[in-house]
Amino acid sequence: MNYIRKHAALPALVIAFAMVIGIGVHTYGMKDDATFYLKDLTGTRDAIGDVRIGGELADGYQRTQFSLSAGKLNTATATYAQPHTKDAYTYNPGTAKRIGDMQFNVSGVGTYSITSYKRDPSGSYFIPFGTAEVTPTISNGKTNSATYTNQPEYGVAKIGDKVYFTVPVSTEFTGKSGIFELHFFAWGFGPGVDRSQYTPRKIAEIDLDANRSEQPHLEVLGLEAVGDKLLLLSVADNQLKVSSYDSESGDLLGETSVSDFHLPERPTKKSESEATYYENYSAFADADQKMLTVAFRSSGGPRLLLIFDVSRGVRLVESFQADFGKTAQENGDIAVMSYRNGKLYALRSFREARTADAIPVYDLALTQHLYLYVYSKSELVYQGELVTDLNEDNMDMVYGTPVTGGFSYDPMDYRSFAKLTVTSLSSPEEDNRA
Amino acid sequence: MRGLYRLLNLEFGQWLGFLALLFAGAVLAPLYLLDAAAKDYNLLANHVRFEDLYAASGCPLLFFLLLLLLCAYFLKTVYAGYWGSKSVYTYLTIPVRRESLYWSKLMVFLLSLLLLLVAQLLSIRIGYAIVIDRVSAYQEGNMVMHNGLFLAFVRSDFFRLLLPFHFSRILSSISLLLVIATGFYYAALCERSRKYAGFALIGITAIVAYKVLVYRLNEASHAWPLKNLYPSSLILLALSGYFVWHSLRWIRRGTIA
Repeated sequence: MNYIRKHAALPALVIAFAMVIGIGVHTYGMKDDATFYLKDLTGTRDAIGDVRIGGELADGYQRTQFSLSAGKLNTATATYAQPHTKDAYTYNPGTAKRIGDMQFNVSGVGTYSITSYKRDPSGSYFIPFGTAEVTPTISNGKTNSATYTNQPEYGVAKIGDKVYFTVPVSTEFTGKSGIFELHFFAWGFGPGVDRSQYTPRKIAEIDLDANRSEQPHLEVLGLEAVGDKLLLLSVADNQLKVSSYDSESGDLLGETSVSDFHLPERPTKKSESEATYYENYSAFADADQKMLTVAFRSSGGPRLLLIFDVSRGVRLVESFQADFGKTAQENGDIAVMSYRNGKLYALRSFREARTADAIPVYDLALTQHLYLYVYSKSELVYQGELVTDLNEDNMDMVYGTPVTGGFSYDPMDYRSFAKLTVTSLSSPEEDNRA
Repeated sequence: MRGLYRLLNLEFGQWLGFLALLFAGAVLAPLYLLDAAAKDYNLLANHVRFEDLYAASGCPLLFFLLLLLLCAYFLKTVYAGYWGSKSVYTYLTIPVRRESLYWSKLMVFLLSLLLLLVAQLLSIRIGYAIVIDRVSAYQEGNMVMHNGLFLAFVRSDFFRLLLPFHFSRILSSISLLLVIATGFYYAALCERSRKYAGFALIGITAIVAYKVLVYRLNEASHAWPLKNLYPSSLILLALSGYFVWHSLRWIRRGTIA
């Protein structure tokens, strides 16, 4: 005992150091213990053998990056030095449209004012950056209101540094609309700016004379950009028309139509049994493969998927209905779709439909899933689920009620999938985000 | 060197009784608090995450109280040299370098702070096992979070203060530890030497350390200004260095007696 008292100090110091470091290293090593695997539901993994599916599962404190290459899943988890707000963007009508690293908002009637937003230096939120104004020569006979086919933000597209805009006009508009290349002046300097310095350049004209007739039937759904081409989606005579324009010259490079395309509640609908398609489509552009994939929700439930090849003009490659499982009651959306090697790959994130009324009280606490679908020649050849621990974050809210404090949902504390991409195995990382 | 070694072991031997009690208290008391907090779990109660349960059970407060207790005990050992048998004069006259007196006391203080940290980390891990044991009794174990301990250490500001995983935060925690040890000793020596001007620096240190601590404990709420904490860590390290240098000067000159 006396010997220990005479020599205990230094060993105690060494042991204390070793224990702190040991506990630290062991705890950090637990980062790879999370559940993360791909569960095959239908089909075999050969269907995803030639693509790389990547993304991350992150909350405000740590991030797990995953890469599914040729059916094999690799994950890497890292913690952040400083917690930061998560970039959780979903488009909702009325919010700004996110294109790449910028956001755009459209307001105004008659003269449309497009505001661009850039990230602030810390990357956490968006600050207004520029304003552009455009006054297309269209009129709808009213002074202060207008009906559009889609949210005005659907008409914004961006190629490189240039931003293009067209108004998603409905059948009440006549005149000559167009696709404009916008010129932005610094946001906030509106009153003092000489507008003539920033007039937009009209690169293509859209003739709305068809709307003067007894049965007006020309509507614009939106504008998409693929590579250096602009694609205008419009509906005329119950046909979906996709027109490709060169963004520099404005030349019409090609056009294609999909017949029997009915929008809801229109007087030109043929019969009650025909399916109608909702205007708010989702589009996924692939600049490298020069393809555009468009998905429309239909009144019947399944989605209409249209895959266009825009390398020379516009050509419809495939068109089919995709069920994506029990879509009627589940709340979720397609995160990314990509058409490669003759197959359509889609990642869909959704919450399960509610089975019990009171548990959980909050919809945000319903179980989430991330499903991977592969369609080949209009048939579902593979369906898989990326199983993770992400639903365990809701543990404290499964039985939560407003009485016991409510759900203080902060995206920092709850993991979600982000940055999902589908790329070809042979090429380096390409960008195919929506 | 031998003088320092002997003084170190002598000092540590005097602390052993208190340290054993402190270590036991730091490991066992949180377990009791956690078990009491987890007892409220039943089938339909909110099964909060471990880090939230830990914060709600009062264990962080217990840690800070134990830390204060440790600092108070250290001050008592410093002042004990001036009460009763006035052993400080004996220490100053023994044939050992006077700096060894300072280093031995400082190193034992640092060692005990480190032991308190180890005890706290151990109690977190054992406490997690106890809480999981209770939680797994419900819903056939469906309420247990996989990898919950790792997530708790990453998501909780308090745990990240004790066990950071990144260099900038490790440096910040180390600088806080050093400045607490050297600052308390410097304040005691200031008072004993009647050189009260040193308290101005102590005040500045307290303000900087307080701001760093408050930021670290609320890191998640300050998400957007990117802070690498290097300025505050370097200031605290510089202040620690100054405290050590100035204390050694006083001890060499014997002004502390």
